[in-house]
Amino acid sequence: MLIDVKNITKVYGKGETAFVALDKVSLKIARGERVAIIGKSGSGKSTLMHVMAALDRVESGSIIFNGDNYAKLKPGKLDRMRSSKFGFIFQQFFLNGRETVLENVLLPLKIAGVGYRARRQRAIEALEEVNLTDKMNNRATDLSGGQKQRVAIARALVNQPEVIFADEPTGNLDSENGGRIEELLFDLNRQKGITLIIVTHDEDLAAKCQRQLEMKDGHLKEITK
Amino acid sequence: MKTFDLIATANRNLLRSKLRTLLTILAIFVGGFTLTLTTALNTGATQYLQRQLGNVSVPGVFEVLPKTQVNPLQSGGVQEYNPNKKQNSLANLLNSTFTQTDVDKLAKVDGVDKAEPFYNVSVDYITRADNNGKKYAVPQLVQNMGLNLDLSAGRLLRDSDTASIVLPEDYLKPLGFSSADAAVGAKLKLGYPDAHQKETEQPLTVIGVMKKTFITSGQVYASFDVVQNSAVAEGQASHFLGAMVRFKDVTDQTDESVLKNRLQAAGDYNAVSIKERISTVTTIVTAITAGLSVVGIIALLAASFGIINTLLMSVYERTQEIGLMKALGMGRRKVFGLFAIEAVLVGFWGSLVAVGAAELASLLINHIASTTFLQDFEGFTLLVVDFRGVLMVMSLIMLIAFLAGTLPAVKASRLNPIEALRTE
Repeated sequence: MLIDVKNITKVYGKGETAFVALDKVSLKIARGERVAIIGKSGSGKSTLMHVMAALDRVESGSIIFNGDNYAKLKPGKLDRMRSSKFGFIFQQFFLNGRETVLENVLLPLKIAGVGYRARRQRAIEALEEVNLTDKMNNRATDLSGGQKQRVAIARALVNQPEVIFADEPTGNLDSENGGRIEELLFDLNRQKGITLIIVTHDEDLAAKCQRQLEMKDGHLKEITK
Repeated sequence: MKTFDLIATANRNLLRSKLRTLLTILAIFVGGFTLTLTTALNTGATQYLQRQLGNVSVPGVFEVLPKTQVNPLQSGGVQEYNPNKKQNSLANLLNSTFTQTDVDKLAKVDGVDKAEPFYNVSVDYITRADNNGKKYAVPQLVQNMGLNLDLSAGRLLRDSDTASIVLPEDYLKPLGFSSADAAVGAKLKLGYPDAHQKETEQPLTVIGVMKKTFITSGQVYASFDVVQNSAVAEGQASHFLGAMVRFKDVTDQTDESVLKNRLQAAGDYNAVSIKERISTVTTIVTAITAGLSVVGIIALLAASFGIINTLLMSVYERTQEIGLMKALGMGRRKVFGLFAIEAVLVGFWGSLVAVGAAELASLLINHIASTTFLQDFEGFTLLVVDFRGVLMVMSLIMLIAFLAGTLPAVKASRLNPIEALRTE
């Protein structure tokens, strides 16, 4: 198992205002799977993704990635894990508009401490994957929405991750661009064997994944097709 | 993230909001400029004093005066009047009870090389026979105490010299000498009043010519016999102001307080060394420049709030970006480092500009000073911007900037990546 989530609970706030976002949730994700997490807003689906991506801690239960229990790792180790094993794609892209496309893509490598030449080279390769090498010296702000999300995918790819976490990757895109992004993500999954964990509202997108998990009021339910 | 990338990123972040960075740097600049100039003033004055006084100063030479009721050199504040205690002023010099017995007593103090009466003589004039007999006033005639006077020609006075004088440079022209060398060996006459206010003249030979220094201004150094003759003529034959005592085998490292105590233990005396006298001058200069530096430091403290403000705004503006970097695996320490470096860079650029501007300003001020109010102080560079001072000011400013940067940096490093990414 690549990711093994056992009986986790996540509570926001304290006392009377406490809100249980995840209530004894368990799941297993194998390497190379395409998993969609669906549910209404506030259902806890984003929280589930965040805790699996080691961006947030849980109150109880355990999350084990590749044999490593998050609860037992030091913050520095978790930072390095995110930096080397995970890629992130967000609904709002989160590109730095003032920087060039290339600078945006190589940011994860810069954080990981990769040298100038190597990171540049790998960023160009990642941009080739998303077919945007011609835009690499443009400012990110000058791109269209679809192009921006492709840059974000290149950025998620650049550290050759094992898992890509995508939070509403097509949420801000029209259907044509959304479709291209979906294709791109599925290609990466099929060709490179990168595990995909997608949080989405979009039922069509979810339907294209091997597994669909539905979050409802902090509980998780596997939808069998 | 590598340190180099961290610095490069920090530098680029500063350039993002150029105007804001510029204004912060400007605030630093004001403090840095002030501080550099006060440091330069201190260096300049200290260097000058060292050159002037450090050379002049001789260790182990004391003026010993009778302990008196009112003496500015003594501390202890206002004291009750005691008719039995001696008053020390020129007015009642003739009533002074300091006699040859006291001098002899001091000569026997352990380690003393030589003790002689300390005279305070005001003579009338010096004149040169082949210069139309014109007479020039002499404010104060001082006996040779072994000071290393800064000479431009000739040599210093020795104990064995008689009827000799070291002439200050400013007397050269009035007395009709073409150069300092020309004056050495020349015959002069010293005029002074005797006890009956009758003018007496004594022939003198110029042994050396000394440069102008402010510690010796108005003083003409003469061999002991010359000073004694005029003092005796004035009525200081048996009663003196005090004694001039010189110890043997003393170096700059000798602890003068031990010698001082020995002299003071010999009787009801108060001993002040030449070094002590001079060090009070240096202390005053240090005190003045320290006071000015406080102004600079206060300006820097004000500027540090500017840094805090700038960086806090930057943290708020870049919340999402910080969140993203943390999500991508940038550790707390690196985030802290990024903002701390930004603060230090603001300090660096601000101080660099300040130091550069201060250097330029000091060139200008020195030029003006040397042609106006410092004209008479040969070799006095008012402002000296030296490497040590620059290094000190720059590191101080960068330290202050770093400290100011810690608050925003901690704030940034503690941001929760998820919440930070959620902010619009």
